[in-house]
Amino acid sequence: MLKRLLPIAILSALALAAPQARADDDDLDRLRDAVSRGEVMPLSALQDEVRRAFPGEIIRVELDEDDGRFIYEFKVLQTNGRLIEIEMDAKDGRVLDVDKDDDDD
Amino acid sequence: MNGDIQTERPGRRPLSIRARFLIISLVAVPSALALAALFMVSVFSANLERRLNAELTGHINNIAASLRFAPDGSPERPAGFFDKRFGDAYGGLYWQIGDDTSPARLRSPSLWDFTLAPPADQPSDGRVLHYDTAGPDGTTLTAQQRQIMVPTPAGLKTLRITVAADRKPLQDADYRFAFDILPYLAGLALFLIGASLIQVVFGLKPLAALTSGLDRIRERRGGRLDGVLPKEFEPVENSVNRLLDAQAQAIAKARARAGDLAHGLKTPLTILSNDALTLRQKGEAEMADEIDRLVAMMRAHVEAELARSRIVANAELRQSDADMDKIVGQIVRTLKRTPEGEALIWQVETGEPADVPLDPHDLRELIGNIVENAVKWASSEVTITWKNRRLTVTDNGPGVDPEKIRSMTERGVRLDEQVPGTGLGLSIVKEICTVYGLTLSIENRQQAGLQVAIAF
Repeated sequence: MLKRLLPIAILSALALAAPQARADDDDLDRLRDAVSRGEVMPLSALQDEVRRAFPGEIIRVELDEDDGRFIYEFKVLQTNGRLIEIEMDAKDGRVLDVDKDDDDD
Repeated sequence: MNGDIQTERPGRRPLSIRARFLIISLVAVPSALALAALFMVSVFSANLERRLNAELTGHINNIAASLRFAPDGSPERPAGFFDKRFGDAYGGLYWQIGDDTSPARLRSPSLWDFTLAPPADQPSDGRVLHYDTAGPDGTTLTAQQRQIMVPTPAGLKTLRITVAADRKPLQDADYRFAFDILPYLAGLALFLIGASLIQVVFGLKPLAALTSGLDRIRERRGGRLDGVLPKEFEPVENSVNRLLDAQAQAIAKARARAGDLAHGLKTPLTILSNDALTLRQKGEAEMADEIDRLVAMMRAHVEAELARSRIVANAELRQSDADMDKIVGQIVRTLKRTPEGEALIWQVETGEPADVPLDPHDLRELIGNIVENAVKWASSEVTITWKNRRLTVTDNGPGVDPEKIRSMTERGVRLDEQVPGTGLGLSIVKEICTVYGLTLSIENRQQAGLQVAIAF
């Protein structure tokens, strides 16, 4: 019985630990195509970039598409409790903005 | 042959080995399983707890990521929680956001009319604080609180996010788990106790071999305990064998000395007998008669002792088996030639030729003594029958006083209590029966006479 429960608990914990992503389904389809064509970097690579530059826990990943340009917004909760928002160009992993104050989108 | 050594039963036997094992397993098995159950429940409980904590941390992160702020920097109610329990009154899952102005600036609808108390020690370094706290409706909550610093339109702002969950589902799960494993543990306990009983019964089986081995020795069918027992009994086996060897040696020595003594007395008795003759010639008839009578008595003892010393020490030491038919025939032929035997009618039925497991010398001694006695007392007839492995010798003499019969078959009657001519032959018969484990019965016949039977 214990053995049956354990994997469930682990899976749930993993599910909870994964950052929530916010994006439209259409955006995601186009993103996938762009990634497969090699025009933009995959999320895994960008996340590594974020983790390297801003140590902490990625608690949210959002995606904006602007004229075919994909912009990621990462929310990172650092170990000292500081919440930072990072905008990153999906094409080359360039950090566009950190700690954007307004949240109008 | 059983029961001739009646040892006095001790007042209280030590607890039986089976009972000892049963008690040990009755105590050890349930306590071991109870410990195992405690351990399993605690592992189960710890895993649920870990899972709940991971869930709460996930909720804190989700709330932090969903924070929105008004232009003046005040936090807005976060949206997008999918767990229904955050929305139901006293739903069991709660969040609360505090800032500089209030420790409960925003609360989940589930808190309804309740506010989560702040922890006694509030960390300011961003660590996640785990604590238990009181919840609505008398519940106990597991809570996590984390201080975060968020950029807002009015600059960096410090907030405390608290998320808490009711502990009751955890406890319920623990109880259910314990209840679920109970029948399995009970079954396991029964199985283990049963197994330990089987173990004891099986393990103690060789003791029966020890008992039968000792019985064999007591019945003189065996001389030693040899390899019938498991290794653990080797010391016992060796001790018993040493004891038996020492005993056998002592018996052999005593026999040899008795034999030597009897032999040594033969010549003096002959001389004494001659002296009696001399006395008689000198006219001392009375004294000569007295001496003759004493010499005869002593000679009988000597002969009996010599005969006894020739009987084998135990059945396994016999030279070979004896042929019943042949030996009975020899004895009858010999006794028919004696003056007493000539006058009698002999009825001999030994139709079944059979080997009996006795040394031929001992069988001859045994039957010879019985038949001689029958010849001595018979008035006209002696019957010898060998049938169904039972030898019966009857005479038609006067029989024996019933009181005396009892003492004749009684064990342990001392030789020196017996008068020559009436008992010494019988003592040899009894000795041989004891050595070979034969059953001797003596009874008066319904008609006149005595019947002696030996079952082989």
